[in-house]
Amino acid sequence: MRGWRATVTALLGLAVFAPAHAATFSNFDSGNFGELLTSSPGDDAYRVLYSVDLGSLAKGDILVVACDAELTNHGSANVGLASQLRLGTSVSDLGGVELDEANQFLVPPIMLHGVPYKHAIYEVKTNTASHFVNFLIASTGTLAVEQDYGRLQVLVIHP
Amino acid sequence: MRIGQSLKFLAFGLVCSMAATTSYATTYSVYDSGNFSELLTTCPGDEISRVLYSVNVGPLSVNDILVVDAESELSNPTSNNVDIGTGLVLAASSSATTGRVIGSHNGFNVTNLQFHGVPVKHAVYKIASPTSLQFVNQIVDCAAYDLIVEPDYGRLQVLVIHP
Repeated sequence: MRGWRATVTALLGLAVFAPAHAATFSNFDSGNFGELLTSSPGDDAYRVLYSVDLGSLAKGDILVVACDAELTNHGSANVGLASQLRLGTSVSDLGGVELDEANQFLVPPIMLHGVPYKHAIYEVKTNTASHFVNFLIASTGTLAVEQDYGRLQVLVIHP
Repeated sequence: MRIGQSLKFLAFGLVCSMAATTSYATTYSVYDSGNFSELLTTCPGDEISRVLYSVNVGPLSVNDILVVDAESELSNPTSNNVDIGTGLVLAASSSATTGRVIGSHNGFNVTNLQFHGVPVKHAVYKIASPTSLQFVNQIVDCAAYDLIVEPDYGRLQVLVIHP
């Protein structure tokens, strides 16, 4: 009888005090041949190269993002290649929240391949309808996007 | 008597629940140096380490885990190749360039053709022994020629997991 009471009391205590914040983890990957572009036109305008849909996000969720790509300069001039990670509302959204800073480097013909490597750690600060992580690129000259030479991966921690 | 027994049972239940709570008490904290958080405008070509980005992650305990991302953009306006070295340290202040190395210090040449160098640093580090250090710093050094630090073209982000 006492054991039964103790068990009930313990379970009651667990129900009251057990954390409702046990973290869960979700992993997302653009996968093999996840490129959305075959080339980056030389108009210096941003386009989405990789995108993953995280589903709904809540305030307090944490994103750990990693992305890389390979772009090739077959021309004879240096080409500026800029890139950035953003959290947007669709697979084609070029706006939204910046997850890291946009930065760039030149891909000289002698270098041939440019490999931007981007990553970010971000805490969702407010409830948001944005749940697409997009990897954006822009280039000052035409670059070929090497297929299956990069990808976008996201770990979402729901604390 | 019954009240006393009930209190004992309640205490037992509380102890059980607290033990269960403790075992699930992992917490996560995110720190970000933010926009325009560069602490330098140039990287002098004197091969002396300086702090480019810093975040204070607060007190750390043994077994805490740091996941660190840092990136920056530095431009080479010269006609020479310029070596840039970067590393990540856990330090005592936002200006300290030494402490516990949490990401290897390494470098590469920024050629005048490439113009912009974008060092990307990443670290996963577990606090193995007690420490009072609580600043995560990205340090840079440049050889022979100055590089320009592009403002708001990089940042430092840290996830601290308290298991």
